[in-house]
Order: sequence, then structure tokens, then C-alpha cells
Amino acid sequence: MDLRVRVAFGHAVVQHLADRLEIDVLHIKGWAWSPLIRPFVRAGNDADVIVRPASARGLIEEMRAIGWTAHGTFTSGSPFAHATTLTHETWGSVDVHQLFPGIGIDPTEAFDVLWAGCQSVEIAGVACPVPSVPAQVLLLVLNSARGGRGQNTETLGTLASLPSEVMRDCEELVRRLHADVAFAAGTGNLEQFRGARDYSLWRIASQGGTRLQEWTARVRAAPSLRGAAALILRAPLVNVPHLAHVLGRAPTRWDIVKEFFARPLRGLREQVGVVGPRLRRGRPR
Amino acid sequence: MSRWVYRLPRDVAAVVEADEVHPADVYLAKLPTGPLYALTGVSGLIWTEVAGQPEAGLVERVAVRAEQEPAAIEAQVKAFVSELVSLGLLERRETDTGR
Repeated sequence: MDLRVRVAFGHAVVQHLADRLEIDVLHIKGWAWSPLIRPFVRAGNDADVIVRPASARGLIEEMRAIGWTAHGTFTSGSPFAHATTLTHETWGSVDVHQLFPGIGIDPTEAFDVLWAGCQSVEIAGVACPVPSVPAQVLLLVLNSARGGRGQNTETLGTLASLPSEVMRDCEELVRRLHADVAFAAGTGNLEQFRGARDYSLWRIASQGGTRLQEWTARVRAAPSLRGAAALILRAPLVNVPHLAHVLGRAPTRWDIVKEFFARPLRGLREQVGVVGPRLRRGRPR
Repeated sequence: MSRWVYRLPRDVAAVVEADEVHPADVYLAKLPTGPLYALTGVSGLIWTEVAGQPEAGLVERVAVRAEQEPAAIEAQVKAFVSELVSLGLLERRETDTGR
């Protein structure tokens, strides 16, 4: 069975469960893209959904109850703590988002904004709510802003092809959702936000950086001291579910110990890679 | 005139893949735990003519696409559709009753 068929079934399963639980889920990317966007973007390897944050735990528990395996938690899954991946031997992989990186307002309020403009499309014969076209454009840009490879020509090509009213409504959403900095990172205009708290985070997310730079930027971008402290505490912890996914088996205590020490070492090695040449350049002859 | 149609049940997902070589490869999934079914060749073709379509004229539609005489294929088509219904992959509903 083709991967894209499996991805379609992933969307269908999640929507089936959402209907059963009477919770709100928005399907994004891949099969959910508007025909205005789809020709410009590559097909994904997994199904992506955004769930109303208050319902996230219920959805994941329901998925696990029918054989899905969660790899990581929302906090351990990525530098943005935004999504967790679940896999199933039949249905493949689904990324469950409870927020979308780059959106600055409260996740529940953001979901309400996205939900208010949603439409319905059929994926694998199942009616699935998807964000409005302007909201999809916003998510496309925010997604490419995390690409780590500088400006995404596919995204910029998509934007250039869109009707002006779609872009106007998208810019209104950027304002309402406080997504200015990340949107600028995705469109190559990040330098306009050089003084912003999350400027460094999006510079690294969009252009690449070491793990240490990433964590430093993430701490700097945290809106409160408490948030920053939580991030610092979380940084050295081993993501056990992710490690199990990588190893293909349940990690032993020794695996976890090795990973605990390997992570800071990897960060230090990367940091040496950046700092080392600078030191050599600065050394007196 | 028949007022019956065949619809996708609420707990079934379907993906139809068609190209120049394969007129219709159909993948069906019982939600949320499976199993999966693959209908290829003639079975996929019959699916595309029955799912979401009126019962009336079904055999004739399949016959046109399969380039066969309706009388020659009627028994097989009806038996196959009955099997799909018995597996819960299709349901026969009166029109205007929604999915």
C-alpha cells in the first residue's frame, strides 16, 4: 500500500475517534492542503492534526487504547513542545499538535481562531475539518520557518501564486495570532524583528544552529522566568519514548544512562565545531 | 425507479487510486482498528460504480466500463456487491438519508 494511502487512513482514523469522543480536531498539511497550495508542496510521510488543547490527552489515550504507540510527550517532542508523534503498525504515523510553533497567543484561543474559519474536506471518504485557506497559508509559512535551511523557495512560490485577498486575510490572522516573528522568518523578513524576544529562536529554527544555541534561544524566548527555569530543567532529561523509538526496543537503564551523557556531549561537540575555528582565528601569530 | 443507493458506512474509509495502468485500485479500511481491504482490477472498478451511486443502472454502468454485456456479468456484480455489504464495507440506504 502506497504511503500516501496510509497517511489518508491516518487522518480518517483520527477523525473517526474525534467524532466518537465529540472533540474538535483540525487536519493540516498533506491531504488537507487546499488545491491552491497542494501543487507547490511535497507530500508528507505522516498525518498531521491540531487538537483543541483541552482534548489532547483524551485523544492520545483513545489512540493508545487501540494500539497506537506514543513517541515522546508534548514537552519532549521538539524544541517548541508543540506536537507528539504516534505510530501504528497499520495506520502509520500521526503527529498530534496541541499548538503550532510561531503562534504567540494562548493555544486554546489560537485553536478557537483557527476553528472559527474551518471548512470540511473529505479525506479517505471521511469528512475532516481543515483550517481556512488563509490559515493554511499561515501554517505553511510557519512550518517552513522551522526548516532550518534558510528561505524555502517552495513556500515563497506558493505565496506569489495566491490571490491577493487570501494573502490579506492571512496577514490579518498573523496579527490576531501574534505570529509576526515566525511569519517573518518563513518569508525571509526576520531581520525586521531583531529586537524581539523570540528573534534568536526563529533565526536558529529557520537558518540552523547547534543544540546549545537552540536551547539558549529557547530559554531567551520563554515568556516568564518560571518558563525559562522549566526549560533549563528539561534540557538534560532523556526522552525515553523517543530513545525507544530510535533503538526499536525498550531502552535499558544502561541505554538511558548512556543517552543522558551522550546528549550534553553532542551539544559540546557541536559547540566546539562553531567556537573552535573562531578561537583559532583569534589566536595571535 | 429505484430509490436505493449504496453508501460508505460511517466506520469505513476509502481511498481510490487510479492511473492509466490501473483504472481503479481501491483501499478500504474499517475504522478505527482495521482490517484493510484492497480491491484491484475488476473489483475496484465495480466499487467505483457502486459507492455513492444509485442501485439502478449499476450492472449497466459496470458493463460499459468493463466492455461486457450486462447479462453476462449481472450475477457476478450483484454477488460481489452483496459481499461488500455483508462485510460492512457498503450500506444500502434510501436516498436523501445522508451518510
